[in-house]
Amino acid sequence: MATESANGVSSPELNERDVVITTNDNRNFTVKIGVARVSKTINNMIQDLGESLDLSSGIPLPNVDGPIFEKVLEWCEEHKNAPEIKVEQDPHTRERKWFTMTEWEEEYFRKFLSHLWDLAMAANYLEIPSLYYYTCQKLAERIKGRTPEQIREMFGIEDDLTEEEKAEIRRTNVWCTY
Amino acid sequence: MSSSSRTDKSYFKKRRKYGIPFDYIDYQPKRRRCQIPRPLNEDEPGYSRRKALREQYYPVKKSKLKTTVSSDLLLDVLQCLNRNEALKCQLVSKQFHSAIAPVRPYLSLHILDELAIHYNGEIYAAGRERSVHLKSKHSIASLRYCLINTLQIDSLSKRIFEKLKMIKNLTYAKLKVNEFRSCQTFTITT
Repeated sequence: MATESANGVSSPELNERDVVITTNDNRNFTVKIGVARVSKTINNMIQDLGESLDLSSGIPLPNVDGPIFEKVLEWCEEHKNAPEIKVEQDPHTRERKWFTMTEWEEEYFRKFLSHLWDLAMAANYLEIPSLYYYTCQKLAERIKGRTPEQIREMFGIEDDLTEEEKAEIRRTNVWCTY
Repeated sequence: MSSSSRTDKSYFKKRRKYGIPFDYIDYQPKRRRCQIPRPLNEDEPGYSRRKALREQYYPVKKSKLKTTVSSDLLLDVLQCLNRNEALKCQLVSKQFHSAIAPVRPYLSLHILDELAIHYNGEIYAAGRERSVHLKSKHSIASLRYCLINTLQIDSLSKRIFEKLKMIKNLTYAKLKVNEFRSCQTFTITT
């Protein structure tokens, strides 16, 4: 098996090379290093491994499964040259300012609407700020204006709170209107 | 109605009889001892038929959400929402409730249109959707998570000064006010 050095070549050249990434269900993905580097976790691995990096044997990702990583890769390919996103919040109310999504991003989330929680967790583990914050915003968008019952139904959560616990929560949150 | 009369059983009896809602903001239930779960088997000592029936007819449902949502992730989602929307999620499930409870101080702030302290020391807060007469310490303490557009006081009497001091202590001096309005002109010394 040929072992290629990651440190021996300049960065633009290295970005064009392929690296194999293995997910927790033992699926192998051959990805361009430039695309994989959108993830800070993978980028750090590439940098840390340096000369000992074996591009063909693969980088293991024990916390991400194949189907989700496939979706993450789609995002990375589209955002490989995108600038770092800036997270801003209202200085008075501390509410986060919403990002404006492109048509492609809207379509991407529309496609994977049922996997938003998994996507957010994968993006968090892989350290992809753009995907992470955009997914969080999309989740917030889905929660906004819905009642707890509707949220439960939407995410497939069962009601395990007792009436006493609900009354206590309502009592504690003085300013909330439910 | 004074707070002492609220502990009186007749207060609740009358309210229940005439269908008047309880003022849950100012009603502080007595602290109960930690309840030890009673056995559901009839032969065991301490068996409660009522509890057994409740378990039978209202079994505790378990959450279907396969993935455990971390507090950090939920905080990042809820920070995109206003405080009302975010706290509403506590009613979704136990998992959501336990994830939201520790991050409550980091959520966005409520917007209160006006907080008025009257000459007799009574505090009224007017929000966008409702207004509340703040009596209990708990409700006053919750002001630290509010952004108040206008703070209005009638005059600077001793009673009002004490109330302001109490608000300061209960909110850990974290009251955020945009505008201060008063019926009386104050000097620097007052």
